[in-house]
Amino acid sequence: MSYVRKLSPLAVSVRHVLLMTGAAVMLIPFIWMVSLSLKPPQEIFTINPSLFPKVWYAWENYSLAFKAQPLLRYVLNGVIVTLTIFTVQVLVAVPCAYALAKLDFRGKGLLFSLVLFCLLIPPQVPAIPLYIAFWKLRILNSYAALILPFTISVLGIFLMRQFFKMVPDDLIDAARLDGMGEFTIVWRIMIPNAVPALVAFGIFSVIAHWNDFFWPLIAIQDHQFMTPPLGIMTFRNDEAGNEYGAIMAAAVVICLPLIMAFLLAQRRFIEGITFTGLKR
Amino acid sequence: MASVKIKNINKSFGTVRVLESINLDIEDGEFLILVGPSGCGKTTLLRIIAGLEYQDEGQIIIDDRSVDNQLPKQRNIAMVFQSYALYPHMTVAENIAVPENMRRLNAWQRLPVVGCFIPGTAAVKAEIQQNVIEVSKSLGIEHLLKRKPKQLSGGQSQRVALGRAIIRRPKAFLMDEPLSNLDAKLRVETRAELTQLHRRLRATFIYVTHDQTEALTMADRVAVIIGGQLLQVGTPKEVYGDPQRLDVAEFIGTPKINVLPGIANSKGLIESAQMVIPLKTNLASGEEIKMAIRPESLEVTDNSEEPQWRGKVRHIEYLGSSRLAYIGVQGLSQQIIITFNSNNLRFNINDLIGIRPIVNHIFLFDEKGRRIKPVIEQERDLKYE
Amino acid sequence: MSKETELTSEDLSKQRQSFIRARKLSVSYLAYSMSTPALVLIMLVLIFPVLAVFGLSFTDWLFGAKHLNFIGIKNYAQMLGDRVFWKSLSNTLIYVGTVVPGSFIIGLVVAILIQSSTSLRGFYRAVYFLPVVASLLAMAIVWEILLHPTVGLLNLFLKNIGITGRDWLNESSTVLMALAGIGIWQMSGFSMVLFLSGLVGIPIELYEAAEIDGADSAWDRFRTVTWPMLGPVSLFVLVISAIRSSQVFDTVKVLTRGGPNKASEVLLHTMYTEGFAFMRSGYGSAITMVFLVFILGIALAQMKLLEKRTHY
Repeated sequence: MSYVRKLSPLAVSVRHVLLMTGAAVMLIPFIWMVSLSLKPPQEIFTINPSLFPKVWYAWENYSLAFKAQPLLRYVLNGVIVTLTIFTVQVLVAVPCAYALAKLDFRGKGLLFSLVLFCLLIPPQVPAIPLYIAFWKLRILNSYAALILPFTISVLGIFLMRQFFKMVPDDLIDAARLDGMGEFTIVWRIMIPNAVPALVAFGIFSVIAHWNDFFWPLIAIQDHQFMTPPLGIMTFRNDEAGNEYGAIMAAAVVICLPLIMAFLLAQRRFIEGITFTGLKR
Repeated sequence: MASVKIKNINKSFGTVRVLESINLDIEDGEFLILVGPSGCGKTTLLRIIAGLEYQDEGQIIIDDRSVDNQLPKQRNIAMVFQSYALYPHMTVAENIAVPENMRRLNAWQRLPVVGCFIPGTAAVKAEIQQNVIEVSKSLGIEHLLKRKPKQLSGGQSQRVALGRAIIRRPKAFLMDEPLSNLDAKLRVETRAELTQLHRRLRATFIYVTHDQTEALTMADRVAVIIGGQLLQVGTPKEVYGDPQRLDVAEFIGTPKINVLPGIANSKGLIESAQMVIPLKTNLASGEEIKMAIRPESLEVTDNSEEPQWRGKVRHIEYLGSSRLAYIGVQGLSQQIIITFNSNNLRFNINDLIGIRPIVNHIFLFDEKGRRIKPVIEQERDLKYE
Repeated sequence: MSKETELTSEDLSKQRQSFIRARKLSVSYLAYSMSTPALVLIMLVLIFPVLAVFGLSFTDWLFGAKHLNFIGIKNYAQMLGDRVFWKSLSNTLIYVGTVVPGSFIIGLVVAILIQSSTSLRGFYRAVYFLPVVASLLAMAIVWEILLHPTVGLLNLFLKNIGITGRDWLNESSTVLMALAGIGIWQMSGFSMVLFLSGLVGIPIELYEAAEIDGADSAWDRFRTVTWPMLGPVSLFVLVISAIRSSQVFDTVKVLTRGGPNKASEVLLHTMYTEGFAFMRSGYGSAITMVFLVFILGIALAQMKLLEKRTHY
């Protein structure tokens, strides 16, 4: 519950004015992106632009976007890569988080310190050696190259451990008394009770890896493996800035999946992210 | 149902000694309550019996077999936790079914979708479901089977926790302060229900509480654990009326027993606050003892009767059926509490009255807190002269 | 006690000790088996590569070359003498120093405004968070048009109120700030959401007590209750935004390529250029090490300095 006092009508209006102005600034790029994707070139590079296209150029822009490059393939790659990454991350992180949260073993403190330390390592630091290693293993330019570096998510381990720690020990004792083994406990007790944490974990992971540009830029050359951001950039470079309408159309297409998912599950999204990070 | 023998249990956490040489034989079908002030000892003992903690020394024997090398789930006991520990993501029916599912279905049969296809699973599941319904009916919660724990009240949650324990038909029921999360009125109602449940199931109940009222009203026998030591085991009557240790006398009984200093005189009688109590002991002259007398065991004397303690009424508490008076007696540092019935006596704050203990009801303890039995030659000895 | 009984209780004790040991061991093995995959991956994908980067930074290896020589700290010396490196470092500092406070303040103000009344909360939350969800790369290309000197909406709007807009992305004096602006646009939503959760966690009783004590104007409430209670969240937001903004890359690579004249060159872009465009793995690794130290430094410095002030 948050503290809400009765605001005077003036205050309410001021609040809306301020927030609306900010909202406009936040939204203008999106609105403009859609608007440009519907316009012909002469309406894009004009000093007298209007919100709605005078000439409806949607078909041309969008069909060029899909024809000039495998746009759908890029989106598909995005889906394959982010889902695979997240699945592997969960399978690796959850048991480890449970062990750190609820079991006693030698080296537990060391392992957790290692996890905390790794949280501070930016993802781009291992890039050069990983590139060299993948080159030697001949797996550059493939799904493996896109997925393998991200199979471990220390953030995921951290989030899940914090959440698992909040599950009462009594519950786990009762489960042990009832005959559950430790892996059963993880599957039947910890995970169902940690759904918000899993959602947050999923959101971080999917957003981060769908939008990741740095590593795919380095690791991928072939169009067939490109992820959405890489695809867009290649398209734009190929077009040398001529067919801006089509570039915008492509941009709309690759932003759409995450935005749709976000709007549909908005509450879960935001609850998930904020719910876990700060409960110590 | 089974007997539980606790032999010489010792347990320390780090440098803190939590249980010291606990020896206790609990009989098959008995309702035994471990009672004592809030602290780690009693619950630790319960968890050791369950196998959730390990003792440093000593043995636990259930049904004449040592269980020390057995995992909790192998000991065939059920535990009701203070927090009830209901699985929040499962319905009441699913919660109660968990122990049966674990016991009677193997890992393959328990798989979410695939399990149903294994032959025999459906029959076992149906049986379990039947058991769940029976158990929930016996506890009056069959209308709650589809609810989730967060939709239940405290009393309902407790019954579900009981249901989960009952369905296992365990050798013994362990209960860790099951009433402490309920409000006062519900606690009184549930006390009676638990006692009746015990009678109906004819099961061994080992129950932990810090509330001595619960211990006295519910138990067949009470085991008083204070400071990690088992001070006395006995029926509620014995523990209340014949305490062997001063700590026991002080812990059991509400309002708290009055404890006064006393000294043996040259005749071996006890003197306290300048009054001679006609209790003969074998103590040497000048030895100091402690005298304990319950509030209901003090009588108000006519001002002319001697001997008596004279004191001022400092405070009166109204309890409905009786009253408590706090008397400040000359020569005593603490106030004496007496219970009295308003029908017989009337006095007010600041009145000067005389009181004296009923001799048969006095408990004497040495300086180590151990009970001293007075030497009683004749009935006559116990009257004031 | 007879000798027999004494032996037995000793035996029992030994038996139980070994049982307890066996139990502890089996729990340990279980815990190890649960954490081994994670540990192995951490080693393979994080720790060894970081060590490799460290090692490589002392070599002169070019990608694909047959030979590798240890050249000590020559790479670092070269870096220290390289004008581009220093520009890159200072640009990154300026960028972080602009984006972090900017998104912090905007995020905080927006969160407070949103929470101050119930109307349209969901709408505002969604709108302000949207930039976080969208692909920065795609949005960067949109911003390119928005910031275009002649046809971009920003300059057209400024023209309407009588200001002549500049060529934001192509003038060395404005390019870094323009990128910082895009960075603030993108990160404010994230800070906002963290502050929202912090605000929701403040007990109402504190505000009520403040009201009774007479601290009941908006500013007083902020100063006596809101701001102190947001301590831990604020620290978290600062550290996270500092780390994230230090990793700026997408906008630079796509919009300015570090130009004009290195005016928008940033650490990660320099690392990319050296390590993957010029294929100078040794030198690139040295820059990576600096990048790592930069981020660790910012994070740890903030935590050390501010941890004291947020504890209550």
